[in-house]
Amino acid sequence: MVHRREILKGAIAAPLVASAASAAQIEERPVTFKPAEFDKKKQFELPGWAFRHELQIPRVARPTAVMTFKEWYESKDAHVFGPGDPVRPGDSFHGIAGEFMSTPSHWSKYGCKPSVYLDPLASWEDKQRNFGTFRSEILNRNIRNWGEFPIKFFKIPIRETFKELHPDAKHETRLYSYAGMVPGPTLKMRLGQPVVVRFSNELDTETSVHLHGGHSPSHSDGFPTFYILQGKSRDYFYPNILPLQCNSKLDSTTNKELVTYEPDIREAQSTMWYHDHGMDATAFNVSKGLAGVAPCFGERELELIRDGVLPGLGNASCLDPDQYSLSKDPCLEDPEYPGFYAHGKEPYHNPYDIPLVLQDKVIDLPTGQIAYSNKGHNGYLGDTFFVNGVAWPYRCVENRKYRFRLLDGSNARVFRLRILSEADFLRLSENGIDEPGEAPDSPEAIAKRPDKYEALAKPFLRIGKDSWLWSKAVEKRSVVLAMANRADVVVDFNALVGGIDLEPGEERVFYLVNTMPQTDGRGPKEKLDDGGDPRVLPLPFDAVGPDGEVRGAESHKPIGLLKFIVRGPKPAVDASIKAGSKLIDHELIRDDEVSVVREFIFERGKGAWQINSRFYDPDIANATPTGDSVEEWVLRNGGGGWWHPIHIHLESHQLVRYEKDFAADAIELPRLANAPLPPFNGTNVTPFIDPTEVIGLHDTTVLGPNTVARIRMRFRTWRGPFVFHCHNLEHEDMRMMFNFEPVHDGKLPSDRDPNVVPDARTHGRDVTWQGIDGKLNRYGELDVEHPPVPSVPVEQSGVLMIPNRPVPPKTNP
Amino acid sequence: MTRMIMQFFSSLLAAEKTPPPRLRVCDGFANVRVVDQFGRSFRFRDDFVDGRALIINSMYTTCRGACPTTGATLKKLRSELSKVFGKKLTLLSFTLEPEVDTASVLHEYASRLDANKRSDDLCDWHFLTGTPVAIKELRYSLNFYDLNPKVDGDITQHDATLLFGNSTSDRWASLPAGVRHENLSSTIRRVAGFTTEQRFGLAAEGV
Ligand SMILES: [Cu+2]
Repeated sequence: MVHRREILKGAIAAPLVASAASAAQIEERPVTFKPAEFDKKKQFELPGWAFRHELQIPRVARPTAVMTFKEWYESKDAHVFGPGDPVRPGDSFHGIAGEFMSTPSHWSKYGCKPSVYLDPLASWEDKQRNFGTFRSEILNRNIRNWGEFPIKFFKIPIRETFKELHPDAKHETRLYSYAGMVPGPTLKMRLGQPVVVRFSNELDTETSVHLHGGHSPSHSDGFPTFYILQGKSRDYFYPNILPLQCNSKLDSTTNKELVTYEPDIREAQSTMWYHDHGMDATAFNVSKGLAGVAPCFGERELELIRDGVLPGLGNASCLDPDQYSLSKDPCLEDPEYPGFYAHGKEPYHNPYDIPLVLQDKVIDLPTGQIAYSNKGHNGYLGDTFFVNGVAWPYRCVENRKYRFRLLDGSNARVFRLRILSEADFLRLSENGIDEPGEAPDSPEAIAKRPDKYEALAKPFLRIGKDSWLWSKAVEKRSVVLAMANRADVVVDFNALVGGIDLEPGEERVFYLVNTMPQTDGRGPKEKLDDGGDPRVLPLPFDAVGPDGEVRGAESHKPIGLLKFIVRGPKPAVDASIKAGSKLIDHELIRDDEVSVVREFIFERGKGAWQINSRFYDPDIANATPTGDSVEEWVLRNGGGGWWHPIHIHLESHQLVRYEKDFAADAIELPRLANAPLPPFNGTNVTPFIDPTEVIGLHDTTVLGPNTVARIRMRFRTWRGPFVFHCHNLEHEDMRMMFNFEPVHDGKLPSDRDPNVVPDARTHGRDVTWQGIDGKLNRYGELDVEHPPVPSVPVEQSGVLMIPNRPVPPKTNP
Repeated sequence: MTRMIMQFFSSLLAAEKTPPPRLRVCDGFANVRVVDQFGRSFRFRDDFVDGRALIINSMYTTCRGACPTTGATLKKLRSELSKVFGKKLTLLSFTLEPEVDTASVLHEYASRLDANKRSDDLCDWHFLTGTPVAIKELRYSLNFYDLNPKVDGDITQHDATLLFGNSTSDRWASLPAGVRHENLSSTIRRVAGFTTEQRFGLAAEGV
């Protein structure tokens, strides 16, 4: 074991004196040792070994068991988490979701028997009967929903691992990992196939796992204080069901209102990811490696792949060798990586569908370690760029179409992604995009950059955002990706090489680059050498105004992220997708469906982050929407130049209006603590945003400086607390987070102002099922730190500190 | 069938060579010379960080804004948490106005918070001053700063936050001192605690 002092010795010139030194000796100690810090110039400097390491595709985890609920429940010795783990699902320290073993009372509206005391097996089969399979009129086919495929069980330890991250570093890097991998193993999900993952925490920190963009029960949603404590496990239940949508219509014969529930097919997820969500520690844990991707395959998506619309191997990319039971085929696993599929053997195998997890880090070369700092609580930014855990990788690709699922998995970095030819990339890396005579960072030069980049950048198709496919494919030349956002894109390399066959030995090279100028955690800004002024970009979307005015700023030099080397002849048949190809219809939530409007203001106060002038309090519900209702939330950036990507758990949301106060951007003065909120003179910029993006679904909507987003969402299926928060992870850890708790039984008193008054949390203990074995006879979350059902009266939680802000008027777009 | 992920990784570890060095977040804390309210001199990182749980805040004696409340909060935390941590916990309040806040000024200020003499029942609470250069370096290394120079230069706008953690697990978190007290106190226990008992007040059984 290398002692820290020895490390210091390597890093500094002067010798060190051991501890217990006298005052005189202390004087001689060097005080200058500092871990590496973010270097804004280094962002643009590529090391000599850049693009020499191959891009890794994270391995796909193999289940430890695949069996029906009945099979595991009736077997006393089914070790579903592997032969070495006799603990049954639900008997782990933190239990399993209540909905796995019982039926919450409000599910009587779906036709289920309310059955807290009902036999778990009877309860499971009752749910399967009521919303297992249904007919989708939109897709004109049967859709499998609750439990229509056997349950897949996984076991994933969360533990420290060592990996070479940087060739110039003297040592391997200590990382936090899911199952020893960074990014974590890919979890491939299938709509209608329940998944139970036993995450066991071997770290010396509490963790909590959030399946981002999923529709999961509260127990398994990564609520920050629903921990996995050190040395303990939690059985996360991902039912992979669609939200149950309430439809009411008038029955013409009886003249009575008929209420039916039908799973909402539009909500079928494509690109989810999972990451740590532990209270106060998320930023550090994620920067150390706790993130992975979790693609989900629903009927519509499989149809698009099978029919050759989306890139893939057709029907061969729609198969799962372990779908109904664990296959005995010994070739499925790589003997060197037991527990993972051998490459090419994984479910829904598709060499033309590649996840790209983008992250930036600071690496301290003498120690080889990730140098983490929250940077004044603004956000951790790195100068070393990683794709799937490899710094500046390359990837050889065939001369055809590929689907890339891009994820911004960084703490505070906003990307503008473009694809450049090799010649353009090398030229711009050397000379930059400004003219030789132009003053660096002059307003004139900055203004010309976006059009110049747009002219050089290669086109591709964007097919989705966050977890969901768009209604149609749209041609783009750039993607703005804020933290936690995903962009689903299709790149036609054959079109990029000019439609030709490449001869043996011949290759063409393209680079995925980032042109977003950013030098601190507040967000992008135009001038890289500008110290204090949080100069801001016009819009945090990939938007273009009528005269190009609204388009965002870009950096003088591009930051290279990933090199593509294209080889080979063009394919006989390629994916048929083109601009305008229909994917999955989306429908805007109507004005008359909205029952409640709430306003949330995201701001900085007292050196920390607040929403509506409050710090996050895990013990209260800041909003209690009525189950199945539609609410409109007004998300306002409270100023100061920061970007806040707002992520709302549980469901997707729709963007109905985006406003920007352009004049406020020109005001340099910071807003001081306790100063009144300035008036907001917003211009509606929604028309400048691609309508396909607006009508598509989102789970994270980024608030640029001086903006207001109006979003609408539904609150379906699950009870219990969920969070929404800023996904700048340092802001989230510094309490820029709120709880909401859908209330399915009963309605709010009509005199309650939903905009300002928090509520007591009512669910917590009852969202967890825990087995009874004499010792672990708790039914719920631990009674430590934050009781599962807090006893704090709302009055004591600081109702009075909420400023009395008027409910914003409803706008008519 | 060998599908024992955990066993696989344990076997990997057993065959492993020397593990890589650690780089702790607290290795970035500036190792500057500081003087406390009793006139004793310390190196910040060498003398306060290793093996201890810390609660750190910034203050200045003439503050009429956040400091009086934060001071009262810290006094309460000191008496509560000393029972949990004993002498393993140290409170460090460093001044933002080192020119004014000399050791003797800090001593007088500390006396108002019962921190002017040693106590067997209470953990140590140092009020720290130093040269302006040293204090600024310390302040930046502990992330008590604002990127906007106008806010950063305005002492009345200083952070009312507490930085806490321990160097053994190297877990550090910051919270506004204005968070509801029960929340603040339980969070400090969880993040800065060395043992399950200190963190959660229980010895948790089960897997
Ligand atoms: Cu934020």
